[in-house]
Amino acid sequence: RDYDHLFKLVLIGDSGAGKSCLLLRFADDAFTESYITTIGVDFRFKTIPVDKKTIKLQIWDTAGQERFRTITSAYYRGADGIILVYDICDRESFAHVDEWLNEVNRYVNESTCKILIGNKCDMESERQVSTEEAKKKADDLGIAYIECSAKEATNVEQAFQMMSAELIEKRQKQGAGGRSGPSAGGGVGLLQPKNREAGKGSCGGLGSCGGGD
Amino acid sequence: MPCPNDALRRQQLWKGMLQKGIRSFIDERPSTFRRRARRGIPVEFRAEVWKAALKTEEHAKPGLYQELLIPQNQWTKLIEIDISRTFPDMPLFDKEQQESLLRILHAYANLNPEVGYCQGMNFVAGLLLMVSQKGDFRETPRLEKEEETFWMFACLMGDGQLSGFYRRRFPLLRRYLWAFDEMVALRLPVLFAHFETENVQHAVYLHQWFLTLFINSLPLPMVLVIWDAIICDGLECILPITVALLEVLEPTLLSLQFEDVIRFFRAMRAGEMGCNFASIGRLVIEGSEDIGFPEHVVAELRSPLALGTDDASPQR
Repeated sequence: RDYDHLFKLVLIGDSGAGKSCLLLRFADDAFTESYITTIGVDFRFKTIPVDKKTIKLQIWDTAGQERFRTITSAYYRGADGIILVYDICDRESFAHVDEWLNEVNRYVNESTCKILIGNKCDMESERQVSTEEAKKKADDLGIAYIECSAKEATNVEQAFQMMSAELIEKRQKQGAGGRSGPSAGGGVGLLQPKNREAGKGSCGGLGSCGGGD
Repeated sequence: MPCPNDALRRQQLWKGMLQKGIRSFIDERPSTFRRRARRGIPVEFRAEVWKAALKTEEHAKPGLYQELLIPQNQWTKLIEIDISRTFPDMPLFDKEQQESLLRILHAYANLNPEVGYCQGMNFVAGLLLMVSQKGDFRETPRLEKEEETFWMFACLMGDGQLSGFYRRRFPLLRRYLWAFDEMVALRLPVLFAHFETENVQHAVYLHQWFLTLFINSLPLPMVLVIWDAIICDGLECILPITVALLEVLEPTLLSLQFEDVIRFFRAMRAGEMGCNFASIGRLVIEGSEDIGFPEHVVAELRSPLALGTDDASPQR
């Protein structure tokens, strides 16, 4: 295989926070003012060098509307990293950070790495959430914080680098050496039960047991 | 491939049907109508035929649309975010269209608060808006056209069952995903096994395909002929059509691993190969004709839909 580690990341956060645009910037180094609404999930790959290692990232982009959580939560399971995005010009999206984390924590374990991204930092004049406030929030939650602009390519690469570096460190602490994650064999282990029968149950397939909107 | 004569013949055929009154034609010769619609409706008649097939005039309540525009609802912000993200690359979908779409979705959320607004509806209502306005040669005032589109959308959601896709917990979508799984397992066992091995869950691409009725998943000319079938023959036809589509793509898909399957599906939406995608769409629909629904799938599709619960797919 052509990488040292494979990590699965999931982008979450309110609709319109800029998840898809961050991913487009990271994966294709491109930007568009009006990206189409993400329905369900979208999916990208990128291989990057981190600390002399080759890291392959599988990144799942999710729909932001609350109703879709019953669908998207299936993708949290088995994720190595969660990237929680809010829009610095939209206080409401920041206010929902706790809610998003609570939701995610129902599916992931302690070893899952999480970071908080404040996106659209190019729009300083419309800022509604200060850097200090966001930093404090992230500190309280015990997760890293970074401000990005998908539009101006500020800190986007860095955010993914940061997350990858942390994940490598975690892997090495686990003493896993060359191991590359629970489902390095291929495909996405983070999906629903592979077994068809299991997939039909009330919590499999499309559903989660979580509340709707 | 249809030759120009074919297109001309089809145009004459539809012109005749419209002149005699399309609504009565549908009532008197439903199977002929469905068969013809599945071969593709000429672009200049599409709006008129869709309107009739959806029984728009029968369902529209005069004056109600204007009333539904007024009350505020909880969906406004979400709808506003999605308006500019609906057809950003289409010049035809301009500011005026965006404003119409905003009002249509807002009014629908008021008409059916249980469904409200769900992402995906923006594409469906948006396409109806584009088709109905493009097909207008009689210079109907824009607002009147907007109201008509609203009722077409409401009919597709209601009688056409589509709202079951968007309700909380997506009950009809879940049922369709289950049915699709069963149908692929029976019809395309080799591809089914390949997807299992590669861990490609059908949901990964089907959520988007179904919730947008293929908009942004397939090239637009192909989407339109599939919509001809959906609107004139019923929502369920997307199941055999999607199976037929996978059948056509099977040789390619079998050679691809997980990542490339996903890439391949993403590339399909761009449709840059310069093919006649309307013809390809018609061939896929034709191919879907001998893909039947297994009995147990029919039984499931006919059983009442448990709304808002977790029991939308059978527990066996």
